[in-house]
Amino acid sequence: MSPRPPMDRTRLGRTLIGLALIDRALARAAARAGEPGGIRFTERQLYYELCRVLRPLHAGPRRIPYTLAPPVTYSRFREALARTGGLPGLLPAPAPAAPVRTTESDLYDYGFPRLLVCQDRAVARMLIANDLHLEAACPVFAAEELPLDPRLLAALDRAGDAVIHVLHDASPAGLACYRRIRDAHATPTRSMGLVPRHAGTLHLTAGRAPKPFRVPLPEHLTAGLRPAERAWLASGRFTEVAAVNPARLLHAVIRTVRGTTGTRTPVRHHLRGLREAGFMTWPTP
Amino acid sequence: MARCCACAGPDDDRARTQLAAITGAPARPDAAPAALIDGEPGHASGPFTLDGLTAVGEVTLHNRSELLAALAAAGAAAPAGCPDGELLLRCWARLGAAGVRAAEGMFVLIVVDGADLVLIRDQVGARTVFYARAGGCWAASTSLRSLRHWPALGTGLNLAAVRSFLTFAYLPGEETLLSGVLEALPGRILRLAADGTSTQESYWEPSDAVARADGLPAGELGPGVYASRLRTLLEDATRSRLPQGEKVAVLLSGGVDSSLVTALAAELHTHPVHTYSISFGDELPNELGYSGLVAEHCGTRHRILTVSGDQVAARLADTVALLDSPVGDPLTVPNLMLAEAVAGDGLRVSLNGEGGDPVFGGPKNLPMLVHELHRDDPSPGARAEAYLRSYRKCYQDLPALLTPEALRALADEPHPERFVAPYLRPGAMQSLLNQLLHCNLRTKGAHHILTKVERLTASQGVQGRSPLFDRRVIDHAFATPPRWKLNGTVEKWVLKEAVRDLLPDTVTDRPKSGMRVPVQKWLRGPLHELSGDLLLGGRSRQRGLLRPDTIRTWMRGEGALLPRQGGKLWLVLTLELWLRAYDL
Repeated sequence: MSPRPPMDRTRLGRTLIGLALIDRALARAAARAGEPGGIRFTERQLYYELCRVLRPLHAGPRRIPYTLAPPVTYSRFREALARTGGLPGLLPAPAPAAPVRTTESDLYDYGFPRLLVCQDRAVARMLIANDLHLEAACPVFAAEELPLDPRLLAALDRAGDAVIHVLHDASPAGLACYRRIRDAHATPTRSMGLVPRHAGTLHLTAGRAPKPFRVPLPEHLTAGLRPAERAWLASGRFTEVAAVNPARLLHAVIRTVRGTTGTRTPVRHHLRGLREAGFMTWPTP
Repeated sequence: MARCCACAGPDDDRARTQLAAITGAPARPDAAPAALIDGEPGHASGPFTLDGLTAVGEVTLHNRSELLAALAAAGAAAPAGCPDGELLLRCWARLGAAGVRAAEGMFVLIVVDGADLVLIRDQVGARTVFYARAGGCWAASTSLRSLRHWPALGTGLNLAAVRSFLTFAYLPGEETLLSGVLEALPGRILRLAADGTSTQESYWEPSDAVARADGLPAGELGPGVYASRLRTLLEDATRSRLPQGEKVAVLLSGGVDSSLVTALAAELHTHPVHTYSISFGDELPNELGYSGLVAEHCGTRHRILTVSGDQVAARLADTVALLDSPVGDPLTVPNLMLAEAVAGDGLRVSLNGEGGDPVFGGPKNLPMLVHELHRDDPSPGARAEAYLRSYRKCYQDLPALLTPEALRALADEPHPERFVAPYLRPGAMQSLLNQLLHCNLRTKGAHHILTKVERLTASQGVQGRSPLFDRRVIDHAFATPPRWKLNGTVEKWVLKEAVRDLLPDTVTDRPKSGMRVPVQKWLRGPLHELSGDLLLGGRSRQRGLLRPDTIRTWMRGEGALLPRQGGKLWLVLTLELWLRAYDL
């Protein structure tokens, strides 16, 4: 094995400056992700916050939809993260789902008016870590934790007008996740998004799958999406829920789960198709 | 209009000297070891003497005839016209704890028994008493302020209680903000012995294990049986609290609890029923439509009191000073103004609907049920900690709100979890819902709701009475299967069913909304300058408890995910005012 050639001084200097910049930006991103009031956030949320710090084009006008390419790779972010030795507010990687440990015999005797399923286990844990379940009286599960306990389903049924909300990525996998959950439950199920239009309006960081890994987009998943959104997805682009600023995510989820029941009024009925695609649940300040 | 206190010690002279120091009266060799404290609003009477016992207290009994009969049956008949305080003393002296258990009412009794002090507080905590030890003597008083100025005690600020207050918005147990001063707990008989030790006997504690002991038939019962029995108990509880031969007031918010009390009073009382509601201005959402509907339905004489932000700003300091322990509740001034209105109309008793939520399963239980689904730490402490978070006060803000010095000083102090943890595990209550209700009853019920009602109404010479906190109603509520309290997602279901025929369905079936108080508006308007001066001024800084940067952040409306900065500021403002009122 031949020895690695020594790095020239200029390149070394640039590298060091680059490292210092990204380290500073990461500290700033961690502070922003935790605002206000010490919000706890996931590693991927921190990554996307770092993207916003490094390329602050997310603050552009809402009426012009666009998404942003990541200015830094995830591997460079992780290297920087490893250099910090830990940041306040950063949640550890989520542990595998554990069974409910309660011994309370009456836990399922009442009615739960709402329930949230997250496509991403880390996002589900983040919402719980920030007490969304206490704030909105809403159980939060990851999609991989399904099927739900039959007793919990009975408690949802007992509420009369319960709703299952699904928080998923703007991606073929996200749309499929929502559809799978909806088809598996008799309880009314609502998509909370994301869909491409949310990603565009919020100017979120979007990824793009390389061509060989692009998933075909079945027609039945895209009902309610605009042609431009379908084309966006078909081009391999996607946006994760983690790309939303943690405070904005908590606001949006709390507002949505607290504000909706499954009662179908005529107006609600007309909006059903749109709502299933995440209509009206997102971008507001 | 007085409060009371008593002292006991190894010798009578020393106790008399300490009592005189507390009351400010000259010490006399023949003086009783118990005395009234004039000039402080309360319902104290006494001293009473019986067989070497001397007692003072604030005692209002709702079942005198039952107690007189019990004493007569025991061969210890009491004079029919004896004061309530004396009657309770006789019950305790002759019948012991069973005699106290039989008493229904609002009471504290301080008994000097030789060199011991005995403190008796009513089952639910409608009235309260504080105690401390100094100079070799025990002293107890219904006035915390009197103990504040007890020279021998030399008390100061209890920092652990500051943390509790910021966590709960009231003090949930025996702790007070004065170091060395404790509050007696409800449903207890506390003996303070001359050697400095104390023993406590619980004479009443609700339990769901006594399910069928309350006049219910045996066997599997349908919900209608529980609702029917509850209706009888509600009528008895209301009837026993109605003043004889006088008009009665009811504080009517428009919610189901105060509405049902209004309906019961209107049905049962032979004199006019006056109802009182609050408005914070026409431009703000209110419940006046509901309260007006109930007043019309029940045929009461209804009066709406408009409370402005300017009035709140002008009266907040005096109102806070009336409370023995601060209550971070923005309704304190409006409650005081209601009591003034009641007194101004010449009424001496006002009923309220307090108690419906803690006794029958109001809001805030569902979040803890949901939390249980996600609890990955099986220890009881984890549930207790979540309960503190669910309060949504300043518990999670403490690291940013308290100064580093205060946080360091608190490091070894007992944690506020201790006030709720004993209730949040199987014990007196088996079901989780009942554990939550029990916790709420014993913390917020006894130390926030009832004591606030008592102090603010007493300041106007009015008695505030709470039929839904009736001991027998509570026993029945815990004997009722939890699913009939929280039925699906319908809160207080059995209570609503019990009175369904008395109220319009629009009132019975309306979702709980709570009183919307424009705290943020007040803090941005008439209270802005005052709160800035108080919280950021020299005296507050000198005390060194709160971080000014956090206060400023909240005053700018920042620093919290959800817009609760107003509530948090209200809490610290109340604390600051209280500390000033008590010269701390």
